[in-house]
Parts: sequence; C-alpha cells; structure tokens
Amino acid sequence: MATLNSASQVLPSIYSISSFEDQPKMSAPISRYLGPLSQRCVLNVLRHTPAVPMACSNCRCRQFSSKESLTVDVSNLAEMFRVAKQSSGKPLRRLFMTREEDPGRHTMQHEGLFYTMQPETHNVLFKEDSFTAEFRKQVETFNEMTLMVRRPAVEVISYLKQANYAYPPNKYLLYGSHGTGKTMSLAHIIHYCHSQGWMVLYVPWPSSWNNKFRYLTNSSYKADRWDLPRESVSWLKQFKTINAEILEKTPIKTRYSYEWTKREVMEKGSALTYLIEFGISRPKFSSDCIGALIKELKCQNEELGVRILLAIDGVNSFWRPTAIKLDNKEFADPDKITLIHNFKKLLQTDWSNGAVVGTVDAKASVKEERASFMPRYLLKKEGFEWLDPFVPIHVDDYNDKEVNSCIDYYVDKLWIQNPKALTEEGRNQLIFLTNKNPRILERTAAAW
Amino acid sequence: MAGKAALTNCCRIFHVNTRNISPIVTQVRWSQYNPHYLEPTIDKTELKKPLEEQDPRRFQPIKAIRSEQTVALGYDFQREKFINIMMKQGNKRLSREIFEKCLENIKRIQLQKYHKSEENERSSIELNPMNIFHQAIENCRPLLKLTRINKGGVAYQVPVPMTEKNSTFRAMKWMIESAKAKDANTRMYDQLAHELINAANNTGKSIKKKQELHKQCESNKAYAHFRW
Repeated sequence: MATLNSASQVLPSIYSISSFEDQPKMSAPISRYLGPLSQRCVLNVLRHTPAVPMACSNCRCRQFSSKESLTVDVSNLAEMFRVAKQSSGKPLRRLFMTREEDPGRHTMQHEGLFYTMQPETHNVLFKEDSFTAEFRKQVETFNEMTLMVRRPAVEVISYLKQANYAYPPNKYLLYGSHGTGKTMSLAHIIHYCHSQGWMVLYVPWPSSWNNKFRYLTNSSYKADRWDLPRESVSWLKQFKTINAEILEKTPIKTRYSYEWTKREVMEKGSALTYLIEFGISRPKFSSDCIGALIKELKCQNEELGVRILLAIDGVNSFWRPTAIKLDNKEFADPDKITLIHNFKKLLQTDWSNGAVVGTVDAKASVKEERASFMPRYLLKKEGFEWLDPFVPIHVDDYNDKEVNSCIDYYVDKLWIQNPKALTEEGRNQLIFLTNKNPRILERTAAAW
Repeated sequence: MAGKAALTNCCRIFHVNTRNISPIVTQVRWSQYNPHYLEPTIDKTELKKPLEEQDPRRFQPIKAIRSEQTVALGYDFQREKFINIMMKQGNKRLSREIFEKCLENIKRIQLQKYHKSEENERSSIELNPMNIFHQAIENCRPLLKLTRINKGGVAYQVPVPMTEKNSTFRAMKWMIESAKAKDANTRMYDQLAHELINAANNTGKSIKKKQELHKQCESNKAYAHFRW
C-alpha cells in the first residue's frame, strides 16, 4: 500500500488510482476507466499510440489482442503512469474520452466515457432552443460538444436495433429526477437515429407551447382551436434542416390535396418539400401544415421505407392545462392547440415503421404537480392511458465511474480551477457535495 | 509616479504610533467576546495536529465558529466577506448566487480568451476566478482616506492611512457600487464579472475611484500634520 501512496503523489491527481480499493470483489486490480489491462496496453494507451485496425477488446487501445496477460500490480500500474508520462513528454491521453464517435457502436463498455459530436452534426440536429441555455453556453465555452455514454441511452439504442418495425411503434419513456440527464440521453438517441438515416421529428420542449407562446391566432381550419404561428414555423424550419438529406434522397409526394385558400390549393401528388416550404412562408397555415405533414408521413413511411423517430422532451406537457384564458374565465384544454393536437396523433399506434422516444419531466408540469418524477404521476390518468403501453427507462444520477470521468473531463477542459479540487480529498468533497447529480455537479464546478 | 512616491513616504511617516494622542476618534466596536478569546481553527489539517504543551489553545477560551466558516475546500475568507457586504436585507442566498454566477462568468470570459489566443500566450492568461477576485481587491485597496478633523473652528479633510481591513472593505464596497451602476437589463453578475476582470488589470471604475481618492489625499497633503 505504501508504494501506491507514494506513486499517487507523483501523479497528477486526475489519473490517481486510489479508487481501486472501492472494488474489493474484483480479484484483479481494475483501472477506473479501462477495465483489466495488460502491461503493454497501459503504456500504449498513455502514449497516444496511433490507432491500428486490430482493436484490443480490453482497453480499446487498438494495439494488442486480448490474449496478453491481464493482471497488473497496482503499484506497477501507478509506476507505469509515471514512467509513461516522463518518457512520452506529451500530456496523458484523455482516458475519459472514447474515440468511438458512432452512437450505433456504443456499448456498456463505453459507459461513463465522453464522445465528441462533430460540429456539422451538432449544428444540424440541435439548434437554438434544443437544450437548456446552460448547456448551450457550455458547448460554446468548451469549444466542443461532447455527450457521455450512459446506460439509459445505450439501452434504448439496443432496443431500437432489435425492434420489429412491421408492428406499431414502440414507445420509450425516459424518467428521472431533475438534472439527471434525460435530455442528454434523448440527444444521444436522436444522434443514433439520425446517423442511421431515420427521419427525426424532434420536439425540444413542447411545454413552452402551453404557456410561453408568443402569438396566438385562431385556427384557420377549426373554429375552436388555436394556432401558434411562430412556434410552428420554427419547428418546420428545424424539421427541414434535420432531415434535409433524407428529403432530398427520397422524394415524397402528397396523397391528399389541401385547399388552404381559394387561390392556394395544393394538388394531390405535389412534393412534400413544397408543403414544408409553404408552411414556412405562410405562418398562418403553418400549424395545419404540420398536421398535413404528420398525416402524410404516417400513411406513407412504410411504403417508402423511411423510419421515423418522434422524440419529445417533456411529453407530459401534452396533458398540462394551457395559459389560454377563455371567455368563461376557464383555461383552454391542451387539445385546443393545433400543434399538440397534431403531435398527439403520432403518439397513437395506428402507424408503423418508427419509434417514439420521450421524456417525462416534472418541469414540464404545472408547479403544483411536481412532487414526483414517476410517469404515472406526471402523465396523470389520461396521459398514461394515451401512451400505454410504453417502456419506462429510469435515468439515475451518475455512478462512481461516471462521476469520476465527469470530474476529469471538467478538469481537462479547465472548468474546475480550484487547485484544491484536484486533490483526492477535493474530488471526494465535490462528489459528496453534489451527490453525483450531473446538473448539481456542473453547477458546483462552475463556482470552483 | 512622483505622487505615488510621496504617498508612500507619507504612509511611512504615519506609521509612528501616536494613536493615544490623536484627535481622530477611533471606533470601538462592541464584541461578544473579551480579548482573551482566540479565533477558532478552521483548517482541517491544523485541527488534526496534537496541541503543544504551551499552546494558548489549551488555556484560553475560543470563539464559536461563524455560520459561513466551513472546512469545505471552496471556503475563502474574502469571498464570504464580499458576499456579506453585497447582501441586502439578510438575503444571503441571493448574494451568494450572484457571486457564484459572477465567478462562472469570469471563468467563461477568460476561457474564451484562452481558446482564442495562441499557444505561447496561453500560459499568461489567468483562468482561476478566485485569483482574479483576490487580485482585483488587492489592486483596488486605497492607501489613504480623508478624515474630517476640526482645528480652531475649521473642519479640515485630513489624509490618514487606512488599516488593511478597512481598505479591503472600501475596495469591496467600490467594486459593488460600480457593478450596480448599470442599466436595468444588465445582470449584476455580468457587470460584476467585467468589473473584477478590469480591476485585476488595473482598469475600470473602482480603480478610478481609488485613484481619485489618492488624488484628493495628495492635494490635501498640507493638512497631514493636523492628524496629531
């Protein structure tokens, strides 16, 4: 034990390995990130050796096969960190990152590791109002967009790979307390589907339709409904940018004719892109355009072979009372908003070749109804029955590996600046203060 | 520069302890504790050490710990002081929130500079917001202040040296005042972040205030002897 202590003093604290003791069940010493290691692997991992095609299944250093001996003494490993650092002269490889940028190939082996989303993908998928303002700021500050590979996203992706798409869509609902990473898991899943060439219908935060709308107009189609022209136009624009590639590849023709006004009539068989363009240029009809778009996609996607992902962040807001005050001094039903009415149709099971992934979030409910984060409570009876059956997936706080990986990432990105936080004691205190909650950790680290 | 040298000379002269015969009223604050009480030890490593035979902590009573003093590694005396000075109507939570957001903003601004600058310049950029905060306070601290002294029926503004505690308070107060001088749409934490960074670079409103005070002290140099 003495050798370990002396070695970890030499090492920078982010690579210290004292948490070996936390895993008494393992017979062989396990590194915090890499799993069992061969001695040669460790050196190569640390020295930035260029990737070769033959990947090592143990440490992903892509250098050796797994037939090497797997046992390394703890003191040896610490010594190796030191030697590798001295001999290479370069900074140590970022052990909390994975080079695997294809979300389809992420497995539980990558759990707790960050992967980089390329700016071109990020700029297409996640525009202005996709995440919280905090996260958008973070992306700007860090100069890169990274997501952590976590169990819920990996789980849903594996389900998506195995599902039978001849049947009606499966519904996956992510739930969990505030700041545990529901939205980030959703982002990971969206990235997977986009990379697989799915059509993505992404609704970032529909709760704002209920109470934070900017303009409210009477529906052009049904007298007692309300349109949100600005929100509809921005959604259509977002849909266009996300699916630009697929819309170009598979030209879709409309099956129905639409008569917007006497002069503006869209004949049967006109292009779907034309419908989208029309909605963007004529905000008055944009909400109904979305309805038409959903109607067309629902009946055609199976024939065209286009898989659809409907991703909704905070789906419980579809059953949340609106802020629209009626003449009889009551608040309007959420169904009376055309957008919600249309998207609810996609939550039904009368279509196939697609999937629905949503989150239930207490913040999407009214203030009085945020006591619990469980789906049944947040969706209430009505919403629960509408979505039933669905697969609930719990998003929890970080585990040991994830929280250490996250702190290392923050240190690497120069986000944690307090020199005391770099010590083992500081790390433990940070974990204790934040209770491993991702959001609280990010907030606490901001002031450190 | 000549003015600055004169000021420091002035201070050196004032170091003569003539407090007992000074006409300046020294403020005596009421304290719960009599002077025998010792300050509590907050440092964890210090606490673990065994007490020596003749350690005063064995024989003298010790003050109770204040609510903001913790063993948390984020604890900093000046930081807590600043938060307390900024606080309004006992709303410490808000005050702390503003300060923490301010630190975050400083970090963001400095990181942005860091990423924009070239590799060889990067090491010169200070990224730790607490270091910037301490540097700003240090730069803002005035050496002298003006005190009203009545001599022969005439009130004179007499330059007198400031204690470290007093000048730190003045620096913090200026910092908060200049952060509050903003339009309604700007947030306090944004303004304060810019103010702190400016002060750390020896520019900005609060530094100007310090220089103005020094200038006044310089012009009233002739009254300096009225202090005695």
